[in-house]
Amino acid sequence: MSKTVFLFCLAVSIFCASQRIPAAAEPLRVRMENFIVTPSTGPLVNVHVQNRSDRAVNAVLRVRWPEGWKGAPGEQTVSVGPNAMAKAAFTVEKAIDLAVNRYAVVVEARAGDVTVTRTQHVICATAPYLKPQVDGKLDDWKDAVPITFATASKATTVMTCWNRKQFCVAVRAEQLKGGAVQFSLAPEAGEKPGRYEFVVVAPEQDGPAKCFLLMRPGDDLKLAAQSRALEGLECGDVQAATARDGGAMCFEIAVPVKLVPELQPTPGRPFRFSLLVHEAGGLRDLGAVMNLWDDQRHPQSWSRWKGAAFGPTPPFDSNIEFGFSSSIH
Amino acid sequence: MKTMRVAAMVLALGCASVWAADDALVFKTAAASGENAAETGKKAATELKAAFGGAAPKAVLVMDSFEDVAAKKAMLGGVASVLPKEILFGGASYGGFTQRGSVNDDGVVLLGIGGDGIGVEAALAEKMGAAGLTMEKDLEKLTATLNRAGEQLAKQLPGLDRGALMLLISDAHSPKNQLLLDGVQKVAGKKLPITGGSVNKNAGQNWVYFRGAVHTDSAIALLLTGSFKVTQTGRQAKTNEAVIETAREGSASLLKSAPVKPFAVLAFNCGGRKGKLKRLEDELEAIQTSVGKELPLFGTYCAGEYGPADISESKGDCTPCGRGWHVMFTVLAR
Repeated sequence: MSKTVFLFCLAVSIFCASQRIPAAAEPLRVRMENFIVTPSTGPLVNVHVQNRSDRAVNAVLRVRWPEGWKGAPGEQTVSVGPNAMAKAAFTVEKAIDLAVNRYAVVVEARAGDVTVTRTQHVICATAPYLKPQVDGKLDDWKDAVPITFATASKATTVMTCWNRKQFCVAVRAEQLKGGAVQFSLAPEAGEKPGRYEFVVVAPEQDGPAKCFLLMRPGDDLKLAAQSRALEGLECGDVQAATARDGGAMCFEIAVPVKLVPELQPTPGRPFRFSLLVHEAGGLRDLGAVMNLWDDQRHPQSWSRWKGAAFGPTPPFDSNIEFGFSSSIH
Repeated sequence: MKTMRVAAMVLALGCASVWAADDALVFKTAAASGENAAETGKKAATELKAAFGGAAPKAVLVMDSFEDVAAKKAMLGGVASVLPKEILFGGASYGGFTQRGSVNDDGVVLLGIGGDGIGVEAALAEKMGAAGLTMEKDLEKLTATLNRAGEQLAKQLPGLDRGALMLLISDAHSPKNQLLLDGVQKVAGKKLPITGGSVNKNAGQNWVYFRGAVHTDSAIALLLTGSFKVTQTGRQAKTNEAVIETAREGSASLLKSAPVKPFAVLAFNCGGRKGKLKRLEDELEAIQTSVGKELPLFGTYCAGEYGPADISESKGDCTPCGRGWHVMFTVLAR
């Protein structure tokens, strides 16, 4: 592992540890959603506030943006019922995109004499329009918006993109041999509840890989708890390939848009996505870098399958906010 | 909102005008969709030509949503099989609309501009040098490059001081579109009404059209002169409900402040707004509740829009800006 990657992993590990929410300590908690298009294009972003008390409150929400940015409005008041959630939308009016794809934002909620402040490193979770060749080599993804996170000091980078025919996913997992990539995909609000869920298992040699379809919208969520064999779940319509690159394992996956028709990709449209990397020692969870509260881990959020590396603690929820965009340029 | 309305009226009153005969100003629209780009272009052009009757348009704005440059060239070829290629200008979009419906992928929307009472001058700034430059790393160079291209465009246009409206189509997207506009306004001043949009920025789709040919890393401007009045407003929105409401309210407010005989409505709209729509037709239908279904209506979804910005610091200011997430309405009236 290079020194740069090591230092990055160390910093991310420290950052993730510092983001843990004290258990049942605060009556309010807040989270800013991901940016679903690049910040410089001036997106709207929601701030969630959860009232964990038994009394309704009026919460005043404020955002301190990164230096040089401008957002509006200055503050918003939302009514939040007892043990309920509310959200308010803020507009980014001026911003600069950063290649590191982490934006330090301070979110504050005040209700009566209680003030909660949270520093988040918000991610831009966007799938730009690209047409990569699905061969496991990620050199044609330079115009994507990578999200990098660390699990036990091992870096994983996830990218998404779309074109008229495909929704594509690329994963570069450092210090990995073999393994599998499982991902969840859903429209923001579909006619049927639920999600698409796929898993791609790395073959022994570089080249085409098999993809399996674990879940579709409308399926009974109880399926998620059954540790199913992958045989019989093959999804030949999905193109997938893997390639080893130094000590890293690269996955490249293209899901035909016609297989997930509810997505209707077009710039600005939101969708839901998350991803897990299964390896012998456990999971690498993209949700770990999405600023979710530590208890946002619904057991039915991911489908179990034979050979998977799920542990006793469920991964973070799979329906994380993402968006389609046009180009980073 | 009242401030915006008053400001729009002030702008309208500020435009020198002479009432013209009804037949002197002709704005017509046409649209078609289909997988065969050439046939689709030909179909739309045939419809536009028929709408003009015996007269000939002086310029045609061509905004299409075909996927790659080969299809775009085929579409332009189809249009040029019916109309002279020398009068074809425009660029790639994310779709659009006319009174007859919305156009999504694989379609083209045309705006024909003609009549004895209107003059059209066209300019191209080619190979601007902005491709690949980012606001993050290259702000200084990008600013100089796009300012220069904007100045170059404006300087090519004779009669700038008599201009009633400039249509600006660029391969410079929000937020870079403001840098191009700054250059234009260095020459043209900030009082000239300007509208238009940035072309589709999907990789491989960022093309502008000038006299029937395709160009990338380029911008075009059309200067319209004549005895007509222009009123403008912009509305920003980023949710489904807000997109529909701002389309309805913005067009209604503008029409109310426009002179008595409007003859065309232009809506340079944001592709991001389109992406928020749960049902594409909802925005067009909202506009139609305000402007009716008879007035020629040209709408196109872009990657940045030119017109009056609707942001917290500039409410009511009608100075044209380059922004994103807006629908920029322009009403042309006698």
